[in-house]
Amino acid sequence: MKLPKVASPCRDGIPWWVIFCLLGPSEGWAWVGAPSFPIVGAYFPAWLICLVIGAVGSVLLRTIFLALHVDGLLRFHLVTYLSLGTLFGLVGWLVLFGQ
Amino acid sequence: MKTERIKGSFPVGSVLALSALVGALLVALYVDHESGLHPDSDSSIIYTESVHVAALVGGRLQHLAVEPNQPVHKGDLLYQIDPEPYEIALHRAEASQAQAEADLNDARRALAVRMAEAATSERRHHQAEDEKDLAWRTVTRLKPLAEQHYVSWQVYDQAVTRFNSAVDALAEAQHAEQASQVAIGDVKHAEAILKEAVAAVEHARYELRQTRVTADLDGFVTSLGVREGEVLAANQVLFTLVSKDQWYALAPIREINLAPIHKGDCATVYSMIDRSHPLRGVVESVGWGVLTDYMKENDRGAPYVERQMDWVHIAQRFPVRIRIEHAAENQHLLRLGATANVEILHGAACHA
Repeated sequence: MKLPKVASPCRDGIPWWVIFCLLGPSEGWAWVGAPSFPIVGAYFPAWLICLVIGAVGSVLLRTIFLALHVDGLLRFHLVTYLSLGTLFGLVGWLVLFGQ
Repeated sequence: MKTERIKGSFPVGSVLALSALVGALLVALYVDHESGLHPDSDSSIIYTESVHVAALVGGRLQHLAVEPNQPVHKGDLLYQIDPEPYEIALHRAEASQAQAEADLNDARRALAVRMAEAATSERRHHQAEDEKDLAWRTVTRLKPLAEQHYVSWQVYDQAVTRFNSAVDALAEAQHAEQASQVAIGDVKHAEAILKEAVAAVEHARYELRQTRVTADLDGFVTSLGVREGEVLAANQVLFTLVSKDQWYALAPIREINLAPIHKGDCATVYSMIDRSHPLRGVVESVGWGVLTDYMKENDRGAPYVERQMDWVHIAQRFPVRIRIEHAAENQHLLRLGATANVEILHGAACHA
């Protein structure tokens, strides 16, 4: 995996890493390539990858929260983890394929 | 371990759940907004123009100068049809031309003869006039002499008869002159036949040239599946030449996303031959029409309307034509019909 190189999106006043994290400059993530992934001869769309990212992310969060004893503080577990998973997927989309 | 919840204290769990929900909704709206501004398509194809290669004349395929998938340059010989029948036809046409030229010369000679005959007739006409005048003068001279009996009436009558004969001879000479003038005519018929023969020779030369088929553009040979010896009809397509001058991506974009697309917009094109290599493209145009079920052909000519009660309608898509820049350097990624991903107004190639 190539190291992300950040070239243009250092706008005035906003730290580069904020933009990097929020928008995901495509120069940095150019190695991702086309927003379509070949799996045994069929191309799967990028949003499907982000769905997987969201699902894996929410499972990962649940594990971490359990380990850190944060899980007990939460209420409405389904809504919370669903929302956090959705956030993961959408942010993944922005970072990998946005702009 | 058991975590205790104290009644009346700050509801951390509820706040976290609400913020996660609101955050997800906001980001979802943002992503939707961004996607609308930067339309993309993962079912595009790589496209280029192609030419069906055919000879305008038929015959046996004598020499095939190309192999399947071979690159060719404009003007290169592609194949040669047996030229012999067309050479024979050319010789025949040339012989016809020579014959027509000879006929024209004959016609010119005959014209010269007729003109000379017309001139002779004219002179005979003048001669007849002179003789008539002389006969008339003789009559007028003899009349007073005959009245005074210096000459016999017999002599006078003879002179009158000669005058009448001279008048008849003059009329005859006039008619003969008119006839010979009309008979002169011209050589237009022979000239027209020669022109026709010249045109036939040109046509035969053209057909002979058409037995050599050359490439009209730089490109690649595709769908070639025959060898020498194949007998081809006139205009029969032997193979297809895929142009390599200019390559395009045809991206079907939903109608709801067409608004931000304009001619000259940047686009990132990924050919799935190497999905890690972005190609820079420029939007050239958006298709003005696609065929729909509504326009299905029917015999009666009345519009075909399906009986339906659909609630959900799938968005129509229009092909956006994107010219790929620097195609020559990326030729290995460009094959007609290859799957492509297109991102309009964003993507790696538009940031460079």
